[in-house]
Amino acid sequence: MKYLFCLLLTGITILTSCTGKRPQDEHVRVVFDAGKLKFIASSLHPGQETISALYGNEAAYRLLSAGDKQATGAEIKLVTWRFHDNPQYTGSRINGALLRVETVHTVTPDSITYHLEGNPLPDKATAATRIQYILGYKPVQFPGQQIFSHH
Amino acid sequence: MEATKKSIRIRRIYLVLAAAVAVLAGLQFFTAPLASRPVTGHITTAPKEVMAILERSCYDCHSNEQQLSWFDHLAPASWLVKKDIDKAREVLNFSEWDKVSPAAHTGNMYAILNMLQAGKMPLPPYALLHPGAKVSAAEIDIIKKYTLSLTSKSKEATTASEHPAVAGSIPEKFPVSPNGVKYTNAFMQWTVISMSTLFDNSIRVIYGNDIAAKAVREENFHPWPDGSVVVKAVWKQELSPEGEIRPGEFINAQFMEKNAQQYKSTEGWGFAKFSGPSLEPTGKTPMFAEQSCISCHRQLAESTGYLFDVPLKINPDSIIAKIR
Repeated sequence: MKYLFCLLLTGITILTSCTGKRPQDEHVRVVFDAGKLKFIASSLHPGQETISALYGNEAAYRLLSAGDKQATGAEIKLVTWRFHDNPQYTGSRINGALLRVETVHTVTPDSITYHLEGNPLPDKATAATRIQYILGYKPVQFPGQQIFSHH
Repeated sequence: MEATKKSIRIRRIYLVLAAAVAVLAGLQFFTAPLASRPVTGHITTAPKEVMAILERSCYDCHSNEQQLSWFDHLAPASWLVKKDIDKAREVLNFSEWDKVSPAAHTGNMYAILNMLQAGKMPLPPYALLHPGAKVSAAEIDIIKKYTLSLTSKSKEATTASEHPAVAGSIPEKFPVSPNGVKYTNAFMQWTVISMSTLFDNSIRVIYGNDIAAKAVREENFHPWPDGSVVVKAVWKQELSPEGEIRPGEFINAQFMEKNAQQYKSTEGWGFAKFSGPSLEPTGKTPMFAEQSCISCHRQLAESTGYLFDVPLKINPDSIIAKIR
């Protein structure tokens, strides 16, 4: 009886340890946490099948909306996802696999840092061209309202 | 003795049958006739084979030109038929297509395609009693081909130079939808849950308040917690010099506000749409969402608690720690 119990316990241990994936490999619905940064702009690249969201702080909003080249302290994150057909609605596309996060920080007008996390860029662009590209975004428009309200 | 018992049993069966017939006959006096409405306009741009499918499978409910079976006229079935037709006509009416704009025509065709693909239309009980209304896979392909052709024809993306300025047209007071959902610009500070496009017409960003963002991360959809608010901001697509699509002119902001008690008839969600520079609310009565929004959300997005643009479950959770 004791032998049977031990055998059963071993069997259960082996089976449970081999089933399923490790928790960290499970698939989840990702909502990007931009911290204190706010959504400012977006874009969709039909050729690369990507969709991006640009987040920033108030200085970034000022820089992008008014082209205030002297703005310092701007923090920007460009978050890029692969887009997919929405399985719930033919005709709609939605962001899916998270590809990369690019961060731009304007320390001074002459000192701008760039950092890339995640998948490499498809066109192997340099940091300088990416900074120029990211700083070329314009904020989305809402009727009579601005993302940072006191401006 | 045995013969007498048998004759009593037969008499009882006749009596029950006669009573059933009498009740059925009586019910016919309580049948309200289906409202007769004129035909003001049909779809004029669809090929014959598309129209043949729509006429055969959809017109009995979604039109003013019903060709009902005899049993559809008999109470109590007629009560259900009338209720379904009244509701169907409010959602989509093929006999009043002159009221439908070209953009709405495209949107409606996509809605029809999605309902057919999901097997939600014709309604399964109706299809069971009316097998001729069933739509085959080959017929769905015909509808799909036509529907996809509508968006490939009409590339509506504008270029950056056509981008109209909307700042300055500030609504003095934020509007309220007829069902009580209030517009708020607080969503601009909320978390972005997802981004999407619809056909080639619009690019969208879906915001959620803290309750909604937490519900998505935890997949707490059945039901979504009360207090969740999701706002879909919709812009026209605009082509950038780099060949990208960017948000252009603001079209509308679509709200879904969860309050199980207040919005019982729409699965606990209060729907609202605020359009254009003046944020004009959609709907004339509080019933508007029952007649339009919820029908698609209920049929096609049940698995995500009636929301369409919930992020796909395709990223490994380790990515959250890696990318910030």
